Amino acid sequence: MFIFLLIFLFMSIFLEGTVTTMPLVLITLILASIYFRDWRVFPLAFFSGMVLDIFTFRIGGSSSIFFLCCVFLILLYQRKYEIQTVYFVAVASFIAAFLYLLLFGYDDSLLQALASAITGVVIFTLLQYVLRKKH
Amino acid sequence: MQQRVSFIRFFLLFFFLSLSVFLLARIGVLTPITGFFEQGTTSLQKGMFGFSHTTEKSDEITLLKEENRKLRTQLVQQSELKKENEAFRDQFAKTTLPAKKLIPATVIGLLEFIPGESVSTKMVIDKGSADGIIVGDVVVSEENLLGRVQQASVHLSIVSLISNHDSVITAKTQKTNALGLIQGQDSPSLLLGNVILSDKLEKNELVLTKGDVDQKGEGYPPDLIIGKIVSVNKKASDLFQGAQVQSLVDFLTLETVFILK
Repeated sequence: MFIFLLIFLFMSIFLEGTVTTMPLVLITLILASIYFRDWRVFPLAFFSGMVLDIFTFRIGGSSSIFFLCCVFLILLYQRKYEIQTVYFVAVASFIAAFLYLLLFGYDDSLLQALASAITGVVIFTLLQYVLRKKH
Repeated sequence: MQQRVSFIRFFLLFFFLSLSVFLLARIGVLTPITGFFEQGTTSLQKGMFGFSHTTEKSDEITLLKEENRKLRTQLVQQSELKKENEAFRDQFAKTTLPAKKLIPATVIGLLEFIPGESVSTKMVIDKGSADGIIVGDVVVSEENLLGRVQQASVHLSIVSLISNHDSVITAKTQKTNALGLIQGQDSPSLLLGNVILSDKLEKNELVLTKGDVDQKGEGYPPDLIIGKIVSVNKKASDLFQGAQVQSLVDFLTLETVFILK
C-alpha cells in the first residue's frame, strides 16, 4: 500500500508540474493521511512539497508548509471523528484544494476544487474496493 | 495520547524544516541549489510533456494550418515592406527597433486544468535567468506573439500567454490601422475592444501589436501578429466597437518558441 502511494505521489508531482493545475499531490496526501493516520505522512508531505516547488517555480518550502498543515489538521480531527468516509474525503479535499488554489493564485478555484473533491472520492472508493477484495 | 504526542513532534520537526527552507529561499540563499535541481527536473518535465502532448505532424489539417500561418506571416512581412518602401519614397525617416536577439526555448509544460481540453494560459519553457531571460521578455513563434515571461527561475520560465485574462496589449488592425486593446479571456478567442466607432473592423483582418516598448526596451515590439478577426461586434448606441480575435497559433502543438531580447 505504501509503495502504491509513493508511485501515485510521484505521478501526481509530474502531472501537476507539467500538464495540469489540479492539486493532485494534495489529494494524494489527504488520502494517505486518511489511510495511514500516523507520522509517516509528514515526511511524504515535506519531500513532495519540496519537489513540487521546484517543478512549479514556487518559493521553496511554501507547498510543504501547506501540505504539513493539512495533514496535521486531518490527524487531529481523526482523534475524535471517523475520517474513513466518503463524506469526509469529499469535504476535506474540496476545502483543502480550494484554499490551496486560492493561496497559490490559480484560476477557476471553485471548479478545480470541485473536480479535486470528485477525484478524491473516486480514488478513495477504488481503494476501499481493492482493500476489501484483498481482505 | 502517546501517538498524538509523537505525531505532533514529527509535525513540528518538518514544519520548522519547511519554514527554514522557505525563509532561506525567500532571501535567495537557495537559488544555486534550486538551479541544480531544476536541471535534473527539466528533462523529466520535457519527457512528461512530450508524452502527454503528442501531436500528429502528418495530419493534413495540421499541415494546412501551418502552411496558412506561414502564408499569413509572409503577407504581413510583405505588407510591412510595402509600407516601409512607401515611407522611404516619401523621404520620411522611419524609426526601427534595434536588432533583436532570439533565444530558442523548448516548451516543457502547459499549465491547464484539464490537459488537452482547457485553454492554456501559461506555458513552461526550458530557459531561465541563466540564459539571460528576465521577467517581461516577449515570447514569439515566427512572427506570432505568444505572451510574456511572467516568472523566471535559474533554468525555467513561466510564460503568461495572450489568452490569459491578465494580458492586455495595445493593438492595431493590419489594413485599416484601427487601434484598440486586445484582452485575453481564458478562452481560445481574444477580445479586441476600445476601438472607436469611426474605425473600420473587417472579418479575417489580421490584428498586430501596436508597439509599446519603453525607454528600457521593455514592452511589446510593433507588428507582431496577435491573430485574425473572426467576428465584429458593433452597435451604434455604444461608445466603442469590439471584435473577437483568434490567435493563428495552436498553443497545444508548440514545441519550440523564441524569446525576443
